[in-house]
Amino acid sequence: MKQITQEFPNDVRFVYRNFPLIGTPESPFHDKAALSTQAAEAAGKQGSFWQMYDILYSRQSEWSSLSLDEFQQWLIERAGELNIDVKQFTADLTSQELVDFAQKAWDDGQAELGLSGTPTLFVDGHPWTSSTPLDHYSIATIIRLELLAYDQFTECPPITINTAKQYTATLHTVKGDIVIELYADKAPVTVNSFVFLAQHGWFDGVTFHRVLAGKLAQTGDPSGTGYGTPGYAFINEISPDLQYNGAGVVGMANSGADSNGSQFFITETALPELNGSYTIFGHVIQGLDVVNDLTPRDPSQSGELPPGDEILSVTINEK
Amino acid sequence: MRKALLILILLASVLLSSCLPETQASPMVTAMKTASPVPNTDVGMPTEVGVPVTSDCTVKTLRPSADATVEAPYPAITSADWSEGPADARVTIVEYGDFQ
Repeated sequence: MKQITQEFPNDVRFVYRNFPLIGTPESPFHDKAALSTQAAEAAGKQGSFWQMYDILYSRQSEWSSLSLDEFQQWLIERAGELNIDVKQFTADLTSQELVDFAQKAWDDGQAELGLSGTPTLFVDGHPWTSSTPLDHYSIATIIRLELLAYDQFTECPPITINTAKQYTATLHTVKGDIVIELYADKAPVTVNSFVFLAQHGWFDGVTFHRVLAGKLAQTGDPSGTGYGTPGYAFINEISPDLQYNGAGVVGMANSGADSNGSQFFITETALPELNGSYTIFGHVIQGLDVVNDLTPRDPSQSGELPPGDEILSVTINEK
Repeated sequence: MRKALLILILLASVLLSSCLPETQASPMVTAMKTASPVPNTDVGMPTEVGVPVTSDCTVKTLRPSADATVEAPYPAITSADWSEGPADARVTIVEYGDFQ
């Protein structure tokens, strides 16, 4: 969580609440759950909650198998390493107030919130499901999508293009310009949306988040996660005479028919398997070398990915 | 809760997005698909924000409510809570944890 709050210093607030898995006197669950909660709260009384929080989580292996008495002693030693009044800490640690606090946290967590285990995470009020790995990548992805939601549109784009005119789009990328001729006549809904998004700055600063060398380069998602949408979805526009028959074909990414949003891709080779399922709405007339030069990154590969190359802005030319 | 459900359901649909057919879904994508948390609430179908302009296009925004914690299933966050990050942050993560 520390990493998350550092990564999103202005956008994420992290709140920690105790749910010590105490159990019942007949069948106790975690024998040191209450005392560790009390330790963090006791340190918190002297402004050192997060320091004790860090100690408890990062040095868990040191104390998890200690007896209660040994653990209490261990906690007092750790308090001595913090800049706090150890005598006061020792008194607070087992005070009735904090014993009651820990018990109430356990009781309330079960009775009022229906919590069943830890850690239980809520993102903007909705619960994290146990089947999702609680790892940094998943949490960061969800956060990016939550943030993208603030920028999404709440209406579909009005029709502003004239299908009798010719449109080109220039993607100004950090690697150079890519000029695309748009098929306003064959894919009017798609081109209208693309022009709308470009004119609203949607693509500015967006990366090519998925670049499969020699195959295709995909972009158009400001969240950079590959899951982002502009807040609306529109139909497929398939023209039988338009095919993924070589490099430079520009198509819409989708998650099934009629789920087009803002993500699009440029081919670097023929991809006939895409014919019929992905709207083609343009082709590259200049800058194919720029496409081929984009930094490869495949989000389906595990491990650290290089940063994607950015689109600085997109300009639309109408004539 | 309704708003939260809306966000969850739409998130679920978004999570399926944008995998071109010739590639495998990443482990992450697989995980996120199952993430699609279907909360066990008794609310009906979510209300979409905005209305479709034409049948060619449908609004599916995920825009959160102004105060996402209003309908959260936990007690309101107060100054008594231990928290890091700005109080007016756009995303709030609440963790219920056990140190042991």
